[in-house]
Amino acid sequence: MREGLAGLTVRGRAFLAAGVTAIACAIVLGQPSLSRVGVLIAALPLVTAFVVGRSRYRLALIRHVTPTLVSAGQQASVRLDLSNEGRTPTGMMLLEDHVPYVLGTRPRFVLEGVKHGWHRHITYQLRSDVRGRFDIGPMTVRVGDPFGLVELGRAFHTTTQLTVTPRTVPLPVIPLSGAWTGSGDNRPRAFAIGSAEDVTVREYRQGDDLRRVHWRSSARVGELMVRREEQPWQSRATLFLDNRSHSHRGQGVASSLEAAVSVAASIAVHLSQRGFTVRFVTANGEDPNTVWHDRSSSLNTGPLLEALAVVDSVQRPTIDSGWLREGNQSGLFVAVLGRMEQIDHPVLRSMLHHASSALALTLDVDAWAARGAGTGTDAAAWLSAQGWSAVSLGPQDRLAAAWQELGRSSTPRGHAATGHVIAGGLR
Amino acid sequence: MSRARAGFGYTVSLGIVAALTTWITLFSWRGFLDQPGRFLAPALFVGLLIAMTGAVGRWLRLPRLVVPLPQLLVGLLYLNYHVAGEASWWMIPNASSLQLCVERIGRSFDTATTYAAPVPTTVPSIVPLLLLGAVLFTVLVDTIACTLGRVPLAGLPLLAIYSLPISVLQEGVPGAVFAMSAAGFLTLVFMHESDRISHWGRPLGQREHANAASGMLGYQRRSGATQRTAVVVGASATALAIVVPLLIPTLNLSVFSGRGPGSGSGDSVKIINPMTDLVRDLKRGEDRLVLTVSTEDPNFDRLRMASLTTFDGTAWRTGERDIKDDQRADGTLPDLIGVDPQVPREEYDYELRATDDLDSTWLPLPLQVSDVDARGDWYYDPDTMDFMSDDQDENTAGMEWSATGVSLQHDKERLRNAPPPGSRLAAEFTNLPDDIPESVEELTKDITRDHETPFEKARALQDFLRSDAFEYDLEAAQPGNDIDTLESFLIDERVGYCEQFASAMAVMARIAGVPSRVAVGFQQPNPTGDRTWEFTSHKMHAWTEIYITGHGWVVFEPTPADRTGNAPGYTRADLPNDDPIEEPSNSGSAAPSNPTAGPNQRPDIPEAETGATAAKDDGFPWLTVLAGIFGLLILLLALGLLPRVLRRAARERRWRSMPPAEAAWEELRATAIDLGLPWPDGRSPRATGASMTGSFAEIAKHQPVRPKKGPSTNPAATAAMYRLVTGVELGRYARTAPGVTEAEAHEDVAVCTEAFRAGVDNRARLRADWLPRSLWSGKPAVSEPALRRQTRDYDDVIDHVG
Repeated sequence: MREGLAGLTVRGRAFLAAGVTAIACAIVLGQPSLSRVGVLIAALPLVTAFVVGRSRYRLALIRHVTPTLVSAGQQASVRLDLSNEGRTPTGMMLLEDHVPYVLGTRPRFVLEGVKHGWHRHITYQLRSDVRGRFDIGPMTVRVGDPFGLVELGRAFHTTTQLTVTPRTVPLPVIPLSGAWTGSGDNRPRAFAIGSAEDVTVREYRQGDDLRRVHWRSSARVGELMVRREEQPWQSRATLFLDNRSHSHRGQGVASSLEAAVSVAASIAVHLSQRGFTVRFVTANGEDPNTVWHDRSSSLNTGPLLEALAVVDSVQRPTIDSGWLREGNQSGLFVAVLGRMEQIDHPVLRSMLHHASSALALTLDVDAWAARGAGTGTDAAAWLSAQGWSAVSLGPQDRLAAAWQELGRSSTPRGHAATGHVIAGGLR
Repeated sequence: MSRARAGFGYTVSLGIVAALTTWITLFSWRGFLDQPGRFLAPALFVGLLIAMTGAVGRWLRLPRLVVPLPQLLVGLLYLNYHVAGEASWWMIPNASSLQLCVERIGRSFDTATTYAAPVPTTVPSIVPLLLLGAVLFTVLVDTIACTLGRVPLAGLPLLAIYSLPISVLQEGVPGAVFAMSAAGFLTLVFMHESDRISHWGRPLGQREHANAASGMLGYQRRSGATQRTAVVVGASATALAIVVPLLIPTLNLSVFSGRGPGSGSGDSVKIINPMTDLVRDLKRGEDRLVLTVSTEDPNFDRLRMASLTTFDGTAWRTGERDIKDDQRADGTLPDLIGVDPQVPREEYDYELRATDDLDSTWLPLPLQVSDVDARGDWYYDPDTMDFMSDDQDENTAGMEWSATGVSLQHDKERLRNAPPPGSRLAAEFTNLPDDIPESVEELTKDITRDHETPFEKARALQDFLRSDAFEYDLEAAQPGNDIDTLESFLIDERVGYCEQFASAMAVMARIAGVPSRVAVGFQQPNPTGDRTWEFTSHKMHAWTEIYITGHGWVVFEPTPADRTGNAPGYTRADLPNDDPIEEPSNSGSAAPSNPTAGPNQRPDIPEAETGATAAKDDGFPWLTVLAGIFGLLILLLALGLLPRVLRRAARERRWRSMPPAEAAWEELRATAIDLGLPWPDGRSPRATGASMTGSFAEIAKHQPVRPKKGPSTNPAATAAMYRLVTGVELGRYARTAPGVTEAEAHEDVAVCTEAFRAGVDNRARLRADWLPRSLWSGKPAVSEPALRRQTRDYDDVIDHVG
């Protein structure tokens, strides 16, 4: 009852106030007929509050989002399993799932008179044109009454995450050097000799030859393990994205950072499809989820895209270069760069030093700020002079064409960079 | 909002429900006229017509402000058709029908201002006026509820309809009508809310499949459970509304009613017409004992309650009475009006007692009185010597009073030879409306042609009316005393009862230039013992009084003998040596005179005051309402100021009764609690002070919404706080406390208070001023329960991670 009274709506409060006033006037003026109206108006919200406050319900909610990783522009579907575990039938409930507004309108449902054991599945679709990681939920429940006099608010707590990855475009195949780098902690060992512990095994995957099952490890681990006999050498690539805020221009979806993320995602997908194991590095350093690891490249795209989905601009003056000091080769190095400053040149030189082959896409960021062509071509020229293969990319340029251009200009390291490629550009 | 999406079905059904609700509420106007069906049936029809018009208008998406126009047009067209149908071409009005319609509405307005409710069927009908009201109210309700979508507000016009009879008829509306209108209103609210909900989201639940069917209606019907809840809530609220008011006492404070003792002179009590209800009381009432009289007067025959002195063509009225405070009925009265001291007189004492059934604001008294003693607020009008109370609730029920009656011994010869009265009196009491029918005038002239003096003329008229040509019949008579009724009574039908006889004689006397008035009172008591008499409600009577110079107002009895017995002796020509005043006739002859008299509800003559006529002069007690509102405001103001006053008292008590440091500390704590700041109880003063400095803020002219808080924001306050803490510590723990002076403590508290107030929002400040929490809860506002409440898990929603 007390809770119900606390939940009186404006209408309920107005009714109560009007009713009390009418009763007071009726008493003072001696008009019993008026007090009848007053009692009716005052009793309505009170009775409603009592009825609503008395209702007992226990709603249970399970939310599934499939898939939890979608590309921007694709649909994900959310399935809600609602059930009532309360004893008494519920009154009227207004459910609203709190979905970020970029994912579309919030789904709302009206629930009334559900009995004990009531169960229902509801499905609704989500679609986002903006990358990011979104919380679906929590669902709020508003318990109402038929006259709109009382409204109690409740909320579930759980949320489910939906990751919307950046849009990608398919890229043409270009000759890429720097493949087959065999450094790192996963250098294969000869397993025929030595103890079982030395045997490098991996989980059984569909299609593996049964003769390669390593039974001793399988017995120990509890699931089928197979001996690694395939080529341990990996094609490794490092993808660098400069996400410092002062390197980019523009706001929100139309910013150059978004374009850079989209470019990086396309390249990441392309490289993974080409068989590269890609690690993703931002101005903050290595992303721990996308370091080189022993897994096949197709499994690599998921974490990569997830990492790219949540890339945000960072406020730092310099690019973190800690990951470059490990002394290992970076294999193929692809950098997606924004505006370059003098202070960045040492880091870029260091990158080139670690890379077997270095490609760079420099975004002409000033064009995003609608100030016409700016320093993008200058940066590309500087990089080319240093030994990078670099092209400049404007907001109107097609990435596939630029990538093709990059492939043409890609030369083994140490060769002189060809300025005319840059000049020939993409315009 | 939902207008664009509202389907036709919803629009139509909401409109129809609104119209029906209005119609049902109009049932409370039933008491206004005798045959309410004549008004309710067309009201229903026009209501539905208006509802359909409105639905079509909304469906066509006319602008909201335009929709009422066709509704109003349709309503008025129908009104024209109904009121002046014979002159118009079916529904289409023309000039003559419009003229007729306006004329009839005007006439029904006249009727409404003239007749008391219920208006009889014989007079020009008030149906046109009521129908006009019904059209306007229906359009108003439909516009508010349906077109503007503000359903709860539609309760206001409904309340207006409902309360009109309360203010006019002074009687309640039947519970059934109230319950039905309440149900209609709640249905409207329910439908509106359902529509809102159906637009809010997708329905889930049991009745999901039924929506296909209801979808045709254009809106989603609600599930059984919700409807059940609505019915339960609505029914219980309505039941409460019918039962609870019986338990609510109504004060009816007489303080507000204007004319208390010493409230100054100049207030006038406007009284309309006690006559109008005479027939209703005679016809309907059950014959009940209303009055017992004990007197020595051997000629006791009648008591007068009121005299009707003005005739305006529709009824005899009491006219305006000017009552002053010194005219109280508590002792000796002025001399008898117009009675020559030479007329022999005898005085008798009267003891009168009314039963509870006599609910009259007019005091029944002997014809001529020299002394009246009545307890309560009773006043007399010096021009007529009528005694009346000054408000509705002071009435005669169960009252006892005493009077000294004066019995005059009129000498017949002197009466006959009395000259016509002075011009002032003649002008006032021979005043007649202009439209007296010529037939009546001629008849009067025929009767009085051969008589010279006023007395003879009056006697001729009395003889004429008491002749065999007239028949007394309460049932067959047309009620009323307007001109048309009188004309048909005098010329054609010649059947009537005391009302017609008395008023006809008074009118004719005035035509003949003789000052006259109609008196209403009781006549022919039943003797019940030694010098005691009883009046029953059927003894109510009306007669004529003629002013004779030197004799004052002299009673004439135009009503035939089978009702009233013999005429007063001095008016009889055939018995010149009779007693000057007729012996009271035996009541046995009169009692059967109206054997068919119906039940008499209340012989409450002045009930007429509250009739439809009241709307004109004294319809709504605005003064009372304004006074009531004013009083209520003062009361509210006092209530609102009470916490402040209490808080201030608590503060002063602290400073008075405690050492300054402790008082300051307590005051600071109370201030913090008032402002809703978390004052940590159970810590040392220093720890408390340190924690409280976190709530300080800088005092700025333009307060930000969320000011920066902390000890550093207001160093002065922080220093003051630590001075206070030190003072408290010294007071509590030092062997000899150096003591803090009260002025310093005051100063420090003021500084800290300002710093606290700077740190909270406006709302908290207002609350601290007007509703300080420290008055009733010693606990700080943000105490543990509040924190727990914030994080409390409601166990009625369960999460399962999916």
